[in-house]
Amino acid sequence: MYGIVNKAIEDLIITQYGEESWDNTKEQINLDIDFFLINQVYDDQLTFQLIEAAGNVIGKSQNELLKELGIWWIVKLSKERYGSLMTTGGQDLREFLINLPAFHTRVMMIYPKIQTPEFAITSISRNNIQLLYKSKRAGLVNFVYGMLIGLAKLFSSQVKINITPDPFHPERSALFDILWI
Amino acid sequence: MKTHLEKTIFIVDDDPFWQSVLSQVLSDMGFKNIQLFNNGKDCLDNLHLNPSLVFLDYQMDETNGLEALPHIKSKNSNTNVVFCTSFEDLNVAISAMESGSHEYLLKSRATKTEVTRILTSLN
Amino acid sequence: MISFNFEQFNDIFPFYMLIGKDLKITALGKSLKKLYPEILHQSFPEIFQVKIPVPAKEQSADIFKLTHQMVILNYTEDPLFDLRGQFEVISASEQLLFIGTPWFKSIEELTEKSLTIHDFANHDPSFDLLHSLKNQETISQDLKKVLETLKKQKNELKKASKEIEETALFPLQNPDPLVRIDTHGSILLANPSASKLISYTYKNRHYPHKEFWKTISKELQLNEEKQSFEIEADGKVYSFIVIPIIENNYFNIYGRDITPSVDADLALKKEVELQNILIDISSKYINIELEHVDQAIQKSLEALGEFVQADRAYIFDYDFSNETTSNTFEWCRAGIRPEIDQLQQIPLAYFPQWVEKHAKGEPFYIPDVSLLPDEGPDSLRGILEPQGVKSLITLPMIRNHKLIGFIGFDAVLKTHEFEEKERKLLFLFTQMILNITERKDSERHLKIQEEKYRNIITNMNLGILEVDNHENILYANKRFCEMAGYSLKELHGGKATDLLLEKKGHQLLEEKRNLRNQGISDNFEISVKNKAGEKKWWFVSGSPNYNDDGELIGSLGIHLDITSQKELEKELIQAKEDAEASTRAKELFLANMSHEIRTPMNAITGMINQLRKTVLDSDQTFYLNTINSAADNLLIIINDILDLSKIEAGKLSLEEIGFEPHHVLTRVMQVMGHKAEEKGIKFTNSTFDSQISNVLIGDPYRLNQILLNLISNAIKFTEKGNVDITFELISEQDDIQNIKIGISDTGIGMEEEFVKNLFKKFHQEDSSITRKFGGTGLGMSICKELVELMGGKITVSSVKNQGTSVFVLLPLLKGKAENLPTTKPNTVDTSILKDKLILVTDDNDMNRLVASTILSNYGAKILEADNGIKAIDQVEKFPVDLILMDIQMPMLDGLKATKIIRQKEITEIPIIALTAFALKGDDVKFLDQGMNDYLAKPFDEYQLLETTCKWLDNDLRNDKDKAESINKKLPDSTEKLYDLEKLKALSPGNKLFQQKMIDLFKTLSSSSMQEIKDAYKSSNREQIKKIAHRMKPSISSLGITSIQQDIRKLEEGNMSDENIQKSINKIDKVIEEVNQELEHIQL
Repeated sequence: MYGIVNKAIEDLIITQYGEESWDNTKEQINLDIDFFLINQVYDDQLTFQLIEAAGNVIGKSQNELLKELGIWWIVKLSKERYGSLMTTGGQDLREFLINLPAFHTRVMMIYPKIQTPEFAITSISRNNIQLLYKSKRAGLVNFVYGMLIGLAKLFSSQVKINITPDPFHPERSALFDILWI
Repeated sequence: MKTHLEKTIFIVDDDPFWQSVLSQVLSDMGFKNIQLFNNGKDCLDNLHLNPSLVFLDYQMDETNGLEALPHIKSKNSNTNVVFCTSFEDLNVAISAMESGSHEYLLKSRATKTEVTRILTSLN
Repeated sequence: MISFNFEQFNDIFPFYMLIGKDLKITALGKSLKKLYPEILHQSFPEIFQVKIPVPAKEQSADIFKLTHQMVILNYTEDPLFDLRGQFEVISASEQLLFIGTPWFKSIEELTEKSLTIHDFANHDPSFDLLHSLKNQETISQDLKKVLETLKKQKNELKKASKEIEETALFPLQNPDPLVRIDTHGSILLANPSASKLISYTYKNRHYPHKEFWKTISKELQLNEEKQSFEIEADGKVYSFIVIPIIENNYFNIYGRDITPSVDADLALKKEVELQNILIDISSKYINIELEHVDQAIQKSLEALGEFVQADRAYIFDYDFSNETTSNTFEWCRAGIRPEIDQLQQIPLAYFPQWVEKHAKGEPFYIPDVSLLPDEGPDSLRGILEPQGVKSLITLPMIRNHKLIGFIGFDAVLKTHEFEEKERKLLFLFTQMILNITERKDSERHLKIQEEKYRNIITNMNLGILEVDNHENILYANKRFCEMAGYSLKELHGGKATDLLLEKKGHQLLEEKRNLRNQGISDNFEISVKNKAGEKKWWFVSGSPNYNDDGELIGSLGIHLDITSQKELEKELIQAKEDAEASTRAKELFLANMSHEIRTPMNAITGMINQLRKTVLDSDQTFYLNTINSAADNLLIIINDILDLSKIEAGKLSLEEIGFEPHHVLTRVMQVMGHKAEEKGIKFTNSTFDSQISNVLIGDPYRLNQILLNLISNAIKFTEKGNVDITFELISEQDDIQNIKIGISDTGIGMEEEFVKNLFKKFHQEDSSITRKFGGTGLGMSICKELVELMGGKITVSSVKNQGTSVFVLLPLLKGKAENLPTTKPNTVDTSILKDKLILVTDDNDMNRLVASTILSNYGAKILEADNGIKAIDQVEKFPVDLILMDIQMPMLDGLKATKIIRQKEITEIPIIALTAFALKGDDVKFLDQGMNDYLAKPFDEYQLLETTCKWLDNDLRNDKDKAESINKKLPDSTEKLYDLEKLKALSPGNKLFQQKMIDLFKTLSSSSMQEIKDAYKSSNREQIKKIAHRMKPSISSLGITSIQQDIRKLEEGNMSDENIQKSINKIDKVIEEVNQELEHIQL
């Protein structure tokens, strides 16, 4: 995964849980790297290791941490570096979600080495959107969940999100039922 | 079509005494399907049982009535919620009505007549 | 030919513009329309400026000619908005088509216009390019950050490296050799000083340095903490300390140059010798027996003298009272002449500088006597030279800041310089001598004291007894033995308690032993039996006895025989009791007398008054007046006697009210005026001092009595001439005026002898006078008593046949007008008496008659009783409004009867005591017993009416009633503890439901109460509120009204801790009761 993900983990841990927590996380996995370059591709394993170690250090489950990371990703990171970019996706949450597949395609163009997941809108109604997520990587469903929550916050929308994992591939595919309240 | 007496009724309250009192009144009125819960969370967890009527106590541990109310309504906007309280506090009742409760019942006035009146006004 | 429909075209080129021949904009792409809808139908050249191609000089370029090139248009209304594209001519419609896309520099500009991807055609790359641009920016920002971090780290590294260098320098700079070797002796590190050493001599063998370390490493152990060894290298001696560093497997070795110097060696030797001498001396002195002190001192002087190479060593004492000094100890080297005998009582005046130096605590040192000034035989030199002294040093001995002597050393054979070290030694020696002599002195002193005390104890008049913790006798002194009657042998080892005490005493000593165990000393008296069986009283001062470690080992008692004092005490007590009894007897007699006498008097005066109200003829009136006057006189005499008795018994009280002295004088003159007139003598008031205060504080009635008495005497004993009364102000201090009242007459006077006895009771000059002049002879003594009671003095001077003057000196407080008593309303509203039923209780029918007659005159109805029992009976039978109760009655006296009546809860009827007693302090007794008021007998009509009407007054009684009803407890409301009606109403007829609810309530209420109590214990107010709230409905359902308020209060949670506790307790109690009752309920 691109270094930007690992950098996001670092930012989240340092900002929310303190430098010491990050130092402990690094120690746990004997991390030699001082600086993650956002444009550099790092081993996927490293990212998962970081999540596991960080979860241990701060005492949260990996799923919890992934969710937090997802929210962080959107609310903090995107807003700070890519704020404008996010709003090009849509004026409100509904539009954004509808545009999401197209949006993601554009993003792929910038990061040639990116392995993006698939997003598809399976059903739209006035106050409900069902978004299908399919990935080649396992274990990131909660990250997506977090990002959805982050998006809702970004667009100041009140939603209720229901997750239905794909019964055949529950670790890398899920249906997100987003309900506007 | 279910008769109204077969409809599911929830009584949500942390006082077993009150639970008994109200369930007796209701069963005397002929209702057969009465479920009892001790706190808001348990009630919410069982909303899939689709109650037509929920008697909700205001002051409970673990999610009080006012907190649980919107969740019940969002699950099924047709569910009727009657707020039960022993606080002679008009403000609490008003908040309850604003949050979607249809009626409120003062525990000290719980009689068959009173309950019948409430049910009539709901239907 | 490709043709698009409108929708397709808009999709592909959402920012197109169609411009008509007239240069008006006829159509817009959907996204451009969204952005700037106002463009439509505007003139293109007016709102757009062509930036690229750069317009030529001629402004008005034909835009239709701008095809086949790239154009950039700027919207003049929004200078930041550019469009990039190309123009195409649509020949068919003669329109110009612009197709293009907004030309943004950054993605922010895009979003500013609220554009989204949606607004751009899918093929349009401009969006992605902007995104890419953004990304590059971010990456380069990122890299910048990395560079910064690197720079920081580089700097820190530089700093750390510098620090390490500095730290590393430290051992290098050490002049001592420092080496680090591994376990095989290879040198890992060596500082310059170590590297300089080339050859080592260790244990008398030589090694080159590499070999040496290899050799020594064999002897070193890693696990031993510290090892050391010595070597010689390069002419110096080094001592090396080895510190093994186990974890790194090497030794750190630190060397030290320990090469001694020749001189140092010698000096060392001498130091050691010096120390040894000191140690020797001091150890000798520490434990020395005092008898051997002198001998030891002698020996020390010798040792020291030798050491400092002196020829003579000595100790002198200073005697400042005689101003001399004398030699006490001396040691001389063999061959040197001793001088001790000549050196006794030398006057200090011979060597003042010597003494002065010593007084400052400094030594006196003469390196060479021959260099001293030669000032004759009495000078220092003159004294020392004959002794052959060539040099000397003396050191003062100062104890407790006092100079007591000195120690000195002489050099005789040759001069000697006393070195610093020697002087130090001598000084130390001096201190030791001081110490030892002090000890000797204090021990001697102690011995003397001991002797003294031993003698005291042995010979004193107090018995000393020492016992251990179990009362076994350890020691008894001579006197104790005498007191106890036992010999020391008989006492020793026995128990004091057994030998001397009876059972009562055992208990007392047990108590005392407890006190001693607590470390308490105290004094007490105890009764004992001595050996001879005689009962004695001892006064004991006991204290706990501790040993030197502070442990309680028993107690000490000092005993004094107080048997005779005890006897005396008994007698005194008896005497006191007798005196008191006699006084009491007198009082009783007085009271009785008073009653017995007054009762008939009362009747007489009462009847006289009644008679007066009837119709009388002149004879009867005359008789009546006579009787009246006789009765009055009798009353006066009786009062005098009673007064005196009262005064004697200390029961007479004086008023302290404001009165006008002038007024008193006027009245007295009025009353006595005509008596004087009758006798034909003048009665005058020659002086009334105007300085006398208008109002004084005192007893005007008694003052009146005194004056009347004196004046009447004066008039009585004067046949002709005059009687004069004067009022003078003698002096004034603060608020007190000293008034002198003088009554002088020109009467028969009195003999000197008589004057002396004038104030004695029952004394008149001679019995014939008594018969002639009448009177009981009590008057003067009463006057004296009264005057003295008032704090004044009465004096008499008289000359036979010339006249008498009596002076009364009184100190009186000045008063103000406010102090004057307000005049009592003279009339009583007697209408209240009409139809009231009054019970008159008195064993004397006369008294009853008087009271009844007076009261029935005003319309009251009378009931009579002649004793307490009958009175109670009457009260029970009839609705009595008021009771007059005589105090002294047979069968049941008034006080007891009142008590019984009050006990019968008859509290509204006022009871007035009738008493002849009215001694000081009796009124309290009445009120305590339940009386409401009292009347002193004989009472007059006015007093009786006033008192009875006052107490019959409705208002008063009503108030009392009210007050009492308030104090009466509210009857407990017939409140039911609980009520099942409400419960039953919920499901009528449903007994099962009711039982279930009752059971539920019992369980719930008990557990809730426990919860509340726990919450209260842990001060958890929130919890209390919650539980109370929870309990409220069930309590209400069961109708337990008594605690509903309390539960509500707990739920509100605003009470103080105290009140919460109270409420909890109340609720707890009620619930328990309810539950208990519910247990047995039958539905």
